[in-house]
Amino acid sequence: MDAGKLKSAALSGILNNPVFVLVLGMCPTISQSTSVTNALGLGLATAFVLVFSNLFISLLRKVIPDKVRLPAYIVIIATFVTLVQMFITSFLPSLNDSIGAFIPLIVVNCIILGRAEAFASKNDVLSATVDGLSMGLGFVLSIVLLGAIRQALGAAGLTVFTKTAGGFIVLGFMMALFNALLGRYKEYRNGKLRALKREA
Amino acid sequence: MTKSMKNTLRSVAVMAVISAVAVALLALANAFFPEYKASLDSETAGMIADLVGLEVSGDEAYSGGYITMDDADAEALQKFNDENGVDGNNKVLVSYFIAKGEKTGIRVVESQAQGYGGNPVIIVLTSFDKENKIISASVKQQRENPTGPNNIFNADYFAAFLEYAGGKTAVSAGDILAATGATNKASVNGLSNAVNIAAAYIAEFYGGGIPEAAPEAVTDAALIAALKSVSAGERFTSYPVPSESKNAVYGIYVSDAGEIIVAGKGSGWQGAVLGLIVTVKDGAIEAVAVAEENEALSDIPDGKPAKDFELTGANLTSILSGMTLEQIKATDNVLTGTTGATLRATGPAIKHAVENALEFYPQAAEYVGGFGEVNVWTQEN
Amino acid sequence: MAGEIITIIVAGILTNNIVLNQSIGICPFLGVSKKINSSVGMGMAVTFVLAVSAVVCFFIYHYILVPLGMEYLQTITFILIIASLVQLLDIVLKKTSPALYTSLGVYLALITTNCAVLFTANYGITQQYDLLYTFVNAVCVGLGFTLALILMAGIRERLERADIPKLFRGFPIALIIAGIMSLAFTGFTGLSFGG
Repeated sequence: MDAGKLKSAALSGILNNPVFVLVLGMCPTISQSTSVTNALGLGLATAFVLVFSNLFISLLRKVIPDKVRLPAYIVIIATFVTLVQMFITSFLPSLNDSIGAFIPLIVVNCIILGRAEAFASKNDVLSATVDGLSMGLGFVLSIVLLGAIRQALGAAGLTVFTKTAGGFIVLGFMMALFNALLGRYKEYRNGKLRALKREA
Repeated sequence: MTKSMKNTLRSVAVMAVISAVAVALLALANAFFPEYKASLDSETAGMIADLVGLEVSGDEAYSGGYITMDDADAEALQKFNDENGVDGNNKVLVSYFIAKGEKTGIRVVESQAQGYGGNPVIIVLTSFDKENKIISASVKQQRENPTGPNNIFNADYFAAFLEYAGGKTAVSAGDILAATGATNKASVNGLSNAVNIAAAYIAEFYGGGIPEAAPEAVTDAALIAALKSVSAGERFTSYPVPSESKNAVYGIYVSDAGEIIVAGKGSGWQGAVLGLIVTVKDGAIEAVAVAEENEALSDIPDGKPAKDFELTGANLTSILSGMTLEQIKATDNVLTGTTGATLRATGPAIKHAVENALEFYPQAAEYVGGFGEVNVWTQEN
Repeated sequence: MAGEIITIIVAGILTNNIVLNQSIGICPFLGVSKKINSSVGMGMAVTFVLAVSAVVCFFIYHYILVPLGMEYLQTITFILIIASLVQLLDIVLKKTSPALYTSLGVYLALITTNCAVLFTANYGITQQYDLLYTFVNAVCVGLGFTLALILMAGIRERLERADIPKLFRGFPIALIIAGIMSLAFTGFTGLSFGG
């Protein structure tokens, strides 16, 4: 186990934030960030699927022939999505009322297939799981943040933000802001590295 | 085998295995989420009381014998559901009968149907009058997804549905959509299927549709033992219970010594059937035996002690022997010192079973006589 | 019935536009809408997949899954159907229209992950549309998607020459524009044809 790889996998949720940086998983991000509860519900469901699909795809990466890569990943991901769906319809009926139609769409969430293809299929189980957790958490945080902002703006009377249009706009601004902050952080870190190098 | 053929075979094999595992896992999960089982608990009793407009509260209705659970023959019900169910999930679960009070005679059918899809289903309580026409309905369970403003289960829309459905013997989804303005077809179809199978059930089982049964020999060893404990006979004939008494009388038996024995029916914890054989001497109870009791003790809500009264013929006889019908009617719970949830239900259940048996006795002789010469012992039993 | 069909058509394209009103199918919407040409090609491909998959999924659901009581396999079977269709389209396009094939590039395979396709297949089941309505609805969702793509592409082509702050370049500005377009489309919800 490469500690460095684990560390970068763990941080990928922030540095490579699926929503603001990689621009993946857009669909649920806008339609479900109308309130914090919805965002949390869908975010956690997605994170659950992401972690387990990453885990199993990494586990089976040497067994699955390249030809049937995509269908195999899809079956694995769809299985976990259906499990989440069963759980939510049986035990969380009120959540089901609001986000139920979007749970099946987790299977086509670009984040999950994207990470499966880019990371899980090429790395060991532990790193893949950590990556899944990190990306999942990053996703949850982003979508909940959006949800909080939209809900707050809506409560303050600016109802346009709870509608789709507002969602697009808030996301656009958040993306710009996040990337600005990330850029600053990277500059700062690189500056420190350069300073260290000069001293050495 | 060439290499590329090997590869293709390998691909197919891997896909097949992964798919098989996935399907198996999902089938398992699907079975794990439990299927709804109908039972007469106080919540259901409350819903029925509200639906029918009973003058008493749900709890009173539950413990006061206002609502009884019909004991339909399981096989007949299964056959009916198979024949009449529109989809795999469309069936009648159970029916209840209002046995007391102003609303006596109303029957409430609990039926289910598939709404949007899968588990959980829509469960509806529909009330019918004596002419098998719909009076009203209420929804016991629905988790329709997605819901929306024009959802049939929203208050205004459901009220419009009730107005449309009242007095009918069947409903149609298209008419419901038109009459209510609801737009979610899947849910409306589910509701209409549930109500329709309930109506069909009423028509078939309580509209004179059940075939006349014939007397037959009692073969169940436990039942024979119970009957023997209160009578002088060795072999017993069981007579079919007339349909209007189906909720009160558990069974009618005649021993080979010529005695007529009646077993009354009571409704215990969670609607469990309690059948008590009662023999009468000089207008008072002589002996009691248990024909059937199956209270599910495991379903007692936590915190309540399990029943500490053993439901045996001997115990019952010692409490009840010598009591007359008037005395039984005057008590509401034959078990004193009631503790525990089961006891709250068991006491009144015993009272009702005994009461029902005693009340049927006067007509038993004439009823049995109406069958004429009956000999079910044609071969060696 | 004609009224209902008109409602479905108008809703699919304008009043309930899948991208701009329901915010479904955003990934490809943001990814492909940089040029008008590729937008049209993508829109057509998506419409084709939408229509065929909605119909095929309809048959599979009603004639296989429901009679067998295996509705819990809906998600798995639908997405596999969609993936297979896209694969088929890939093969067909490679042979019949190589230009379109190359212009779509990797985005052709990504049609599988277009939320709109799976959503529409599911929607037909929820609304218990019969075969005709399922087909019409799917086609109109596709047309609405194409419309949104073309409009966006038109704006973004022009944006190329504009001077946008570095932070907003690329996706952020695209999103904000999408938001404004969505606002405009909300205006359509007042439309009704007495259906």
